[in-house]
Amino acid sequence: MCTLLLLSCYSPQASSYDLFRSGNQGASGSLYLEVAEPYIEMHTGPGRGYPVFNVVEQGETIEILKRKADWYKVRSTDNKTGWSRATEIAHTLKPSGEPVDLPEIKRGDYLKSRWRVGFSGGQFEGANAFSVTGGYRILGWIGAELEWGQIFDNSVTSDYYGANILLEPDMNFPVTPYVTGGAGQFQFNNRQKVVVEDAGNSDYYSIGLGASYYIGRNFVMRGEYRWYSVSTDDGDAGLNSWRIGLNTFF
Amino acid sequence: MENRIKHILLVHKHSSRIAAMIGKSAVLLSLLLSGAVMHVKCVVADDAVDKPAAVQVITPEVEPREVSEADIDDEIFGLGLYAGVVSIDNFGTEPVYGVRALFHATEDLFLQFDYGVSRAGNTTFEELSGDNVSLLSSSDRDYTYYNVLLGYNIFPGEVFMTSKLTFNSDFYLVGGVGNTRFGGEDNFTTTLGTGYRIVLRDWLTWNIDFRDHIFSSDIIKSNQTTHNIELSTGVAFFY
Repeated sequence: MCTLLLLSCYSPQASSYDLFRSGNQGASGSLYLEVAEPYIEMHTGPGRGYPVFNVVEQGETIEILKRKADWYKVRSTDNKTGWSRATEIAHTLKPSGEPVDLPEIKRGDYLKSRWRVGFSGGQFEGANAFSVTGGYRILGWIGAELEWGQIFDNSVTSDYYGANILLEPDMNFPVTPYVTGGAGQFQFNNRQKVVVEDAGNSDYYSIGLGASYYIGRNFVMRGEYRWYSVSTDDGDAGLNSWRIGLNTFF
Repeated sequence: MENRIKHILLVHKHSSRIAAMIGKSAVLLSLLLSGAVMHVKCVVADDAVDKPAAVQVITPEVEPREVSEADIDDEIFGLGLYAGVVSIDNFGTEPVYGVRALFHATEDLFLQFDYGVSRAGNTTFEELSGDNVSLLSSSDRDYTYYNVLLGYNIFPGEVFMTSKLTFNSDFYLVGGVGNTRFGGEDNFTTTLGTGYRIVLRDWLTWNIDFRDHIFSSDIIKSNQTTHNIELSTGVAFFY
């Protein structure tokens, strides 16, 4: 019994946790996760169709290298690098034992997301137009947006710049309504072939009513009808416009 | 005499018994002693483990760095360059150069912003009519365009360049709207196209593109729908 005691006194304590400490943590500090499911598959590429070439079993460690949409590039302990689906990585454990909390893109995240870019096409009183927007969600239901667009009419083209405020309620329906209000400036240019008085620049105010439709991942489609009040030399003129747009958030 | 022998034998027996006893007790004693020594050793060793010693022998208490999941690198934004030829409807086919910005939103969907420049040559009419006839001024021959496109990877796959060199690839469709500044005018343009992308590295792609830029032009004929076909190749860097 004393001999047994002797042996136990001097044997080293080893655990899988020590692998995290003793192993190479990478130059920038990589995320190491432990596989909790029976296994996760490693594919040769980040997309459908790329075949499985390796399997990481339960209890083994993987190093997360980078992300591409719904796929993560991982490296197993036997130095094999491949891509695994985010849904499989979501069921791994951090070194502390907690389940990992991956950045996912679901409809709930759309409502929590801060930044948005998008473009839309439509018409201003029958003239084709398109615009590009960049937006920032200030609160859950208030967003701010900067917009640049162009309008193409037979006699005149116009660049316009503006800023808008969006009010969109946080509803759990696939389609949610919103209202916008904004101000900006039209910069009119004559088309070469038509001689018209120099149109110049005009300030505007706008009110819009639209609906957002979450089409999946991080894409939202929008349809909107917007009324413009343009200040010209002869007073305020009204312009109607409609647009359909695609926004992507991140 | 018998008594003497008996006496000697008795003494011998007695002494051997004593010797045996001494011997046995000596062995027992040594066993006890060694056991005690060992026990002492064990006790000492146990104490060494039980007490947090001044010098940690087993494993150092190092806190692993907490890496946030949000720090995982994801390369979804990219910038690219491209060059090719554009066949400007009614005019000639001229080289075109451009830059682009890409945003990979999902595995299959991406947004792209292109900006390209070219310069038109002479129309056939101008060529045949001689040097004095000119439909457009020199500055009006500048052809610049920009557009925002939505792209979809319909056929992802792999290319096997050599027996050892394999890259992931995508065949994609793009469509979008934009503006073409030509003939001194801005023209609302619809762009449709397809392309083939080869993913050389996670951060580097090479693509070959076909585009049809469609806009209504008044230069040659009133309200003519022109199709300006572009064929280009380029690279894109993701970060």
